[in-house]
Amino acid sequence: MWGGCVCVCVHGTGGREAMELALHYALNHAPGTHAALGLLYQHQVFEKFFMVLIPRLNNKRILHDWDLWGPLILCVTLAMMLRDTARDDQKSLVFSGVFVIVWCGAAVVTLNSKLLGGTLSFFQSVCVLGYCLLPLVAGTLIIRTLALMSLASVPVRSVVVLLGLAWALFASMGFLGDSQPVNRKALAVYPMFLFYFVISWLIFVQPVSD
Amino acid sequence: MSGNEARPASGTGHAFEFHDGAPVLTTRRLLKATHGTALWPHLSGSSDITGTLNTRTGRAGADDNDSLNGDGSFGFSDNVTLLREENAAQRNYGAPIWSLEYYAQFFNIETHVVRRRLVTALWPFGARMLDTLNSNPDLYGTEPSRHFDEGPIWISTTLVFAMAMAGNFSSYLASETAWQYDFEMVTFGATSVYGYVLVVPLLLWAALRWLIGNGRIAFTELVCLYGYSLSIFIPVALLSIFQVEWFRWLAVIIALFFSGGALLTNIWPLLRTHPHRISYGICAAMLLSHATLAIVFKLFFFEYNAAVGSSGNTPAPAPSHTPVPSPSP
Repeated sequence: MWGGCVCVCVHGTGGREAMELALHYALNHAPGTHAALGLLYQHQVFEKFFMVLIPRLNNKRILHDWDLWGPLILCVTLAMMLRDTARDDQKSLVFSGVFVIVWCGAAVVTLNSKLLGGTLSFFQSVCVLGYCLLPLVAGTLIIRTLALMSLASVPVRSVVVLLGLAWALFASMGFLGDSQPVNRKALAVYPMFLFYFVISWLIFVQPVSD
Repeated sequence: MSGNEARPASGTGHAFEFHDGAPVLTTRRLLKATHGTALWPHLSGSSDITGTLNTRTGRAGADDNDSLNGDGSFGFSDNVTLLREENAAQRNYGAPIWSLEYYAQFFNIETHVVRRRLVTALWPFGARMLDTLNSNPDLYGTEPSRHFDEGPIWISTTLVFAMAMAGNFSSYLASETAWQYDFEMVTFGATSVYGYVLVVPLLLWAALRWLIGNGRIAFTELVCLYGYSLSIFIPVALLSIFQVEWFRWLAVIIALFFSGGALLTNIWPLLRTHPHRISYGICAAMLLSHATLAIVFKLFFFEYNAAVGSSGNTPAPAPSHTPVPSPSP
């Protein structure tokens, strides 16, 4: 699985074919893949992805077993895809910049809501904020796929990104929203909105015509 | 405090009564009074600057438990120590300084307070923004304000990304061939804004403390002031999308007027009582650094101009007419 990641990094814009090759290699030849996938199942990463995609009211229980694998996977995926379409002399800057924005942003938003009196623990909040990136990362994948078919014009991209932003906000508000007292809700919600808005902008601003 | 005699009221150990007929002093009014001496020096008599600074850093457990000095008058630092003790007991139950709950007491802020601070920082002709950092039970009901809230953090972050987005959009509008976004706008914006909001108040605080001798103003208050005063540049960043040079310069100058005016209005009362040359020097340095920041913003972010020619399509896009040294990555 890590071999797959390395392959995608190296091949850059020819990533799609390389990703298929890497996935084939990882699933059939790399011994660590089964262990890695087992780890993901153990931590219920895929279930949490599903819960983010379909926010329901009875999924507060996942808050108690937080994990950071899901956010890490999402962050690495996002960073790799944004790195692909970045300017040539800024590729590594964008890669590290996405990491900094996602992790430091999640940490600061969490600190903010905690210091305002939020009831979740630090890692629970970071976990939720990271998992709620899933709609945006899915949006990036969709835009890249559409770009390969030359369908990713500006209106299409903005619709996909706005949809992802709304979904991410809705999902994270569902988990974090009611842990704040009423007179501070705006102070706690605005940083979350800024966090997802910045990431949406980074996704939207990617050029699609290479 | 000269001219005032204080004695504890019956029952509570924390309510005091002043000779001037003010009502029974609760902890909130005590905070206001001790804060007020920082801004209105004529109200204070003796001042224990180091004591104030120690207690302002907010040690949760105060060493000095006595509320009265030997002769029955109150030491300045003792009052604030007492206040800290009580507030610590109220808010964080003596949480240690390395726990998150300890710092929660500094973020005990509400939305309407943040709104008021923003308004007073943007309009330098009315109330002073630093006044809103004091507790004022007449305005805010029962909730005491604090020196610091998270407003400057989010205003700075919003400013960084507003400028990055606006700058990228301007360069997109100005480019004629294939355009690629410039991530360095984000990094340079972050460095300049966060650096400015942290370093310049530090220098100002040091100047106020050691050159002027006013140790009562806290570093966090100055960071708050600077953070809120930068908020005017957010709409300027959005307005700079209009590709008209004189309009951009006008917007930047107006923003500079308002934010510099807010800074001056708040800082000048602290400098009034000191020899004029140093006061003028500090004010001049403050305004000069603020003007430098505004000009740097203008030249780096608000520069792309479609009227002059293509500027956003080269690997290292330069502004349309003036070569600006781009920061090294």
